[in-house]
Amino acid sequence: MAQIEIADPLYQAEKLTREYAARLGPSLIDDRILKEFDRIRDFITRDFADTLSERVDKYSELGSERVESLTGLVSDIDVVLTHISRDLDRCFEIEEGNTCRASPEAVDALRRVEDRVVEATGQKCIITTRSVAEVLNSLSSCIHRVADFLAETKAVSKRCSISEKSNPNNALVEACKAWDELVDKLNELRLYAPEDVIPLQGIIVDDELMMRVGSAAGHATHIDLEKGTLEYFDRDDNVNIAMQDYFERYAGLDCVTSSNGVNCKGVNKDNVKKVAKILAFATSKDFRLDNPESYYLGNERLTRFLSEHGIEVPVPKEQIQEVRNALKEYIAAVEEAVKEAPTRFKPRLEELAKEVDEVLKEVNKKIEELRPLVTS
Amino acid sequence: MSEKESVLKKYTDLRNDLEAGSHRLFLRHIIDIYNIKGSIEELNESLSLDDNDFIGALYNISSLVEDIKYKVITYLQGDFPQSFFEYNYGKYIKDEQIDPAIRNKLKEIGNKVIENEKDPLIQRFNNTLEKFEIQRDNLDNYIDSFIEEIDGKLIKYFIEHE
Repeated sequence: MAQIEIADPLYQAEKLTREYAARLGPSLIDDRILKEFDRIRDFITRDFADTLSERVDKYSELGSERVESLTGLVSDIDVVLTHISRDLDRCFEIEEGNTCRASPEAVDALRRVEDRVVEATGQKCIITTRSVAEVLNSLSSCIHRVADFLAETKAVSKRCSISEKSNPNNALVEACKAWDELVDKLNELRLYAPEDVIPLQGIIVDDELMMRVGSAAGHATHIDLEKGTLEYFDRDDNVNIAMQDYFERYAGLDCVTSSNGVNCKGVNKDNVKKVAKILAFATSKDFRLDNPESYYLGNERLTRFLSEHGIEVPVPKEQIQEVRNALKEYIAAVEEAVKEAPTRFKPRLEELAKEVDEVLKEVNKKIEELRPLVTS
Repeated sequence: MSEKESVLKKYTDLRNDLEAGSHRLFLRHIIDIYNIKGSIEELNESLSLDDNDFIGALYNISSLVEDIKYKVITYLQGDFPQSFFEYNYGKYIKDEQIDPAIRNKLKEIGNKVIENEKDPLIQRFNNTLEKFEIQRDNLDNYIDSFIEEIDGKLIKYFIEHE
């Protein structure tokens, strides 16, 4: 019986299927082999499925579209295992071992698994598919590709991690670190809502940087350095318009805004650090737009920082004075109205109320006249 | 539905609308004048705030203005202004299936409501309210662009200096 030694269930699944395939090769199919297969299948549909789902969710939250294809992976693997189970039963009946051939259905199902793996990782995983052992060996290879792709990450800064099994692009690592440092500075300047800071993180996998830039569901960013693209996901129109302006003005990107966020072209290794720094301003942008007084005008730390660094920000004194003047006039009008109301308006309203009641009586009379005619 | 049923329905609807109007005219009596005065006091206090605090209190100021607006309209017009009258009774005045005597009485009520609304005191109240709302929206818009300017200047600073 295969021993489960590795902590990560994704690699455990890979090991179990690989070792089972190796054992299956020279053996005749017997009860023990069939029971072991059931155990592996249970493990894949339970522990492997749970871990895979958690990792896929984590990457999805960061805006990775690549992992979407992995959402149906477990059910596709289960289809492979169902056919393999039938193949094993068949071989058990006719006492075939290393020659136990894989059914076309098992091979087709395995190809669907490979399609998903290729979509996510860009790598094929089928080796050979003649026998059941070979199909399982290929399945193990596919699981290995996925496990590598979703491998646990290693922190490179407070909020940035790299996927250990990938080959993280150095420009992205540096960009993520610059973003991370700026997040700390902007947080010190009290430009963030506290709840928005906790979930911030970035993960670098090969040429992609996936970031979570806020606490709202889907508030993520995906930078693909190979394609030169940036996808910023946000449903707040005002924030999207501002972010598009920043990306274009300060990083020279070419962007389009939609209701789902901002899509940009033109990201490269030279400007990606600027892009990452701009992304630090996406966090809590909605809060800042809605509460300018607490985040900007009444924010002493920010005001001090701006003044120390020679950044001039004019207070809208003229506009404030206009509001004060209008408010004074409104107050005066209300005070006069309240003073005059009892003598000037009360009698008019009483007269109106009387007249409305009179019409009401007339209308009731009409209703009484009409009702018998309608019911008869 | 027969014609008689249709006419009966119209009178029944008119009765319901008149009852609602009568209720609104009665609402004047429940307005607590001290409550309006208390809100005015709060608004007066906000005028003495410095610019930053005044902007900070802007949302609260707007809420107070809105609250006072409803109460004053109810106090002066019984929450029965021209817009309410036209929306609720205009269709009956034009409807030839309604007794002309009733339509005429409704028209007379409407004229009095319009006349009341022309009172210089109500005009002044509405004008100053409109002016406040315009100036407040101007300030809001200015603050929005002003915020963009701060974030923009910070981005420029952090890109150039660090």
